[in-house]
Amino acid sequence: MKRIVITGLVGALVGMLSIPAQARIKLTTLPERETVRVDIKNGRFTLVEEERTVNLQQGRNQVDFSWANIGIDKDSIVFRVIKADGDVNVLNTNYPNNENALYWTVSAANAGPAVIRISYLIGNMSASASYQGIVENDEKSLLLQTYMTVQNTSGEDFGKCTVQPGVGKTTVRYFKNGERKRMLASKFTAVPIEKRFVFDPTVDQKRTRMYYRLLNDKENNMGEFPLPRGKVRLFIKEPKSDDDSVRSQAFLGEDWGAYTPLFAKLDLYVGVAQDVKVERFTMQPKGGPRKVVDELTCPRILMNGERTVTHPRFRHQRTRFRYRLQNFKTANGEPIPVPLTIQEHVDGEWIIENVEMKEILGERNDVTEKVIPHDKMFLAKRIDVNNVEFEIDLPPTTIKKKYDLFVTILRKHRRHNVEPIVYKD
Amino acid sequence: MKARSIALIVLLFANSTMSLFGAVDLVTLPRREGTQLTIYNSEDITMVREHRLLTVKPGINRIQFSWANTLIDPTSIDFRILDHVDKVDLLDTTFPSGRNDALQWNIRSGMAGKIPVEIRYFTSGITWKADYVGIANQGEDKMGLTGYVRVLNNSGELYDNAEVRLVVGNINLVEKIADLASRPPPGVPYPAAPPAAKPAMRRAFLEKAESYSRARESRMLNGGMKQDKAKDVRKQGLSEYFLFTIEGREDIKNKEPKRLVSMKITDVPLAPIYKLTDRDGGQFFTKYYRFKNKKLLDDAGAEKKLSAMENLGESPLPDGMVRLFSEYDNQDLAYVGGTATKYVPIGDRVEVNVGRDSDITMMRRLKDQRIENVVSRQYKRRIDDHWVMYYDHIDYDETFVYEEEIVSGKAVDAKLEVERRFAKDVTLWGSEGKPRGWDADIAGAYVDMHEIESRIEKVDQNHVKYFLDTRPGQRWVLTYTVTYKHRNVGPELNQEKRREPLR
Repeated sequence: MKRIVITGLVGALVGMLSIPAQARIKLTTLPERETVRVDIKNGRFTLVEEERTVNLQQGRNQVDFSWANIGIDKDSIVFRVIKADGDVNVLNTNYPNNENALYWTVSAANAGPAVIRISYLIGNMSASASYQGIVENDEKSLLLQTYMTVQNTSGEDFGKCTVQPGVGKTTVRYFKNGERKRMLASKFTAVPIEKRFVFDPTVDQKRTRMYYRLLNDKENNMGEFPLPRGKVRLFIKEPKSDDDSVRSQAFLGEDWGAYTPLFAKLDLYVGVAQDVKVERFTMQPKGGPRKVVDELTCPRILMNGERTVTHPRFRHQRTRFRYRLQNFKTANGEPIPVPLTIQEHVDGEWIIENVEMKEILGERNDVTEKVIPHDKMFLAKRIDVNNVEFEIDLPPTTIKKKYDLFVTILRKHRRHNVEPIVYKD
Repeated sequence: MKARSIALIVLLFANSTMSLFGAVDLVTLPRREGTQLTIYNSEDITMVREHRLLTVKPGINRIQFSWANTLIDPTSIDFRILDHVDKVDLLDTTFPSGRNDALQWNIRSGMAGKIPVEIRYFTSGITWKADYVGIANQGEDKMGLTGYVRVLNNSGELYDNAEVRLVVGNINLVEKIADLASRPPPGVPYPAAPPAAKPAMRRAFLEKAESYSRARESRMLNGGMKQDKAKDVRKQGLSEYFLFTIEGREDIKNKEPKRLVSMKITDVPLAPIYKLTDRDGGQFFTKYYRFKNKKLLDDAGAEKKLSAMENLGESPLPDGMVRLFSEYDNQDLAYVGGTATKYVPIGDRVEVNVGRDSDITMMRRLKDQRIENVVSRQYKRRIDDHWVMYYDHIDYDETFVYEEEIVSGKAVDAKLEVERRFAKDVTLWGSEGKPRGWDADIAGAYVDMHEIESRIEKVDQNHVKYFLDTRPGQRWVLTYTVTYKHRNVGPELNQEKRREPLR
């Protein structure tokens, strides 16, 4: 059932503004909607544009527009004449009291058909994005498909209409009230993925997580539009076997994909990487805390304006972490190295004071430790003042060969949890 | 059993204008050509793939798919055309108003004939888990290990003649499939259970609980083993997971658990180890069986040629319950213990907690205790415009002398690990000699274990571990001291809080 009704009241109108709403004369012709465009790009409001042809008489005409059971924002209604024979002007817009209706007073130079376009905002239509990623078996690239699900709870049955769901293709659909439609909006093929193994003790103290990182730019076969937030479901192609007519896929995991602007990265937590084990211990810093005091020399201005010199001592906090690293990851039965990222969260002024990598061989009473050069396998990245990442190319390990990474972080000029500043005048 | 409730109807339109249901023509109801179940154990999710042959006509074809009374996640249903993809195209998926148990695919076809399609969806209610039975020999150096996988179907749906695959690994799920499956359609509120429904719900719960206990009893009666010939389980790595594919096809019936052998390995080298740690009280030794998830070696040290079902190190061991028995020479079994194990990667070691061991005893005695080096430290604090002297900062050293007596009542050699916790940051004098800063005037726990004949390992800033290899009947008496250096501890030792103004 159509709920939006448009009527053309034809004739010369005199003293129209004084006509009460009840007295308005209903339609003589009901022009059908010729085209309808539904635009859901804006997250809160849906823009509907419809075109109709109205037969106008020379002189003043009343075009009546009313609706029921649909949340139209009255103030958003725009009336435009697209095509007419001669000048057509909208003289005024009138809002009858307590009615979901309005009428335009339109002046036409000549009699004849005129194409009008009415645009308005409605509520209760929504579009949400979801993604499906089909990952190649080697996990180097994926096919990313964006789906838009448009939901029509506006109260209006749209017949044949053009739907712009926000991203991707515009499609022609029949859209009834209450329906949801899931449409393929875009397809990005061969999008390179970076596989990351991340250990973040604030998220999970025991397990390493596996993430995929995608970049939303042209170089990485995306970058057509900012990716809206939505659930990403990832599947992986299995190696083809003989009895498989169609290549099987297994579900890898899902994550919420955050809104990703162009050139930005999208990190997706896929699942737990159980073959990469990280244990984190807090160790006592070498040399103890006494050395972690800075004695400054700075001017001191006295009450009487005299200048002297003072030596305040500031306490720093030194934290030393030990990460026991084990990598049992295999590919085709062979052990392989993995790129491991360890995330730590700090604050304020800090430096990485010391890094040491040890190779631990043997067990129990027969353990030998050897400090090994770490500059080729370790990189500390300051993400910002609160986040630091340690990137490690972790070679394969066995039960009798492990790695211990020691990182000492010096957090400077801590005011809390320290003795009062001692002045040595 | 509940009737199959997944239905597929194909509606064809000869014209492409798609008026409402007036021109609907029901042509065929294609049946499942093949079904594949991929079951996950970390989350309640199963991926179902069905292959069907659809008959299409040129123009718009409308296919209805409904799944009332199942646990299928409507957002996961995916339709894939497997052949003639250049002529047949999926336009959209439409969910009708007010329903969450049906949808309709609108397909544009440029041909007439049969096309193979795949329908894929997630359902909840089907899970699998692994469990193991280990039988150790009397010498505790060899073990026979049998691994099982058990598939449980509570989904309300029968999956007959299905290929069954099990995924080992922890996937990330952001929403539960069972929640998505029971979510009402948009605009419809969640149905509130009327008070009258409560007794029915309680009855249903009790029935379910009973069915579980019945299932457990039946498992116990037949020893938990199915008498069928063991099917081969193919194991294959996939990203961070492992995929176990069960040979052939299975009927996965509703509420009928199915247990299959996933591996059967003889003569796994076994090493018991006894651990005592302050993390769980530090009073008793706990026995662990250790074995490696590595390929078995023969006497010459070469890898044995065994099938994947009969060897370790071919796949990770999924987490599951391990039940351990000990076999006497006369083949009687003794139950040793049962415990849950975590996932074990290829090449890593399995450590199965067998339980408390009372054959090895630990007596820890505090032999001596003293307080020394007490220093009352002055400090001044400015109050308004004059300084006040305090006497409250106290330094003192508190020393404890411990003796640990460990006696092994085992008939065989045993490997022990003892881990102790200290309440302050540890400076350790252990097997590597006196550390730098041993005499420092800094707060901390100064642990002197250098007299213990073992490697002493500092686990973290509070934990220290030592290792002993004992012979049968051996008695160890170990002595160590710990000095807690307290610095600037405040007024505990000086209750008067004396203060005086500075002159």
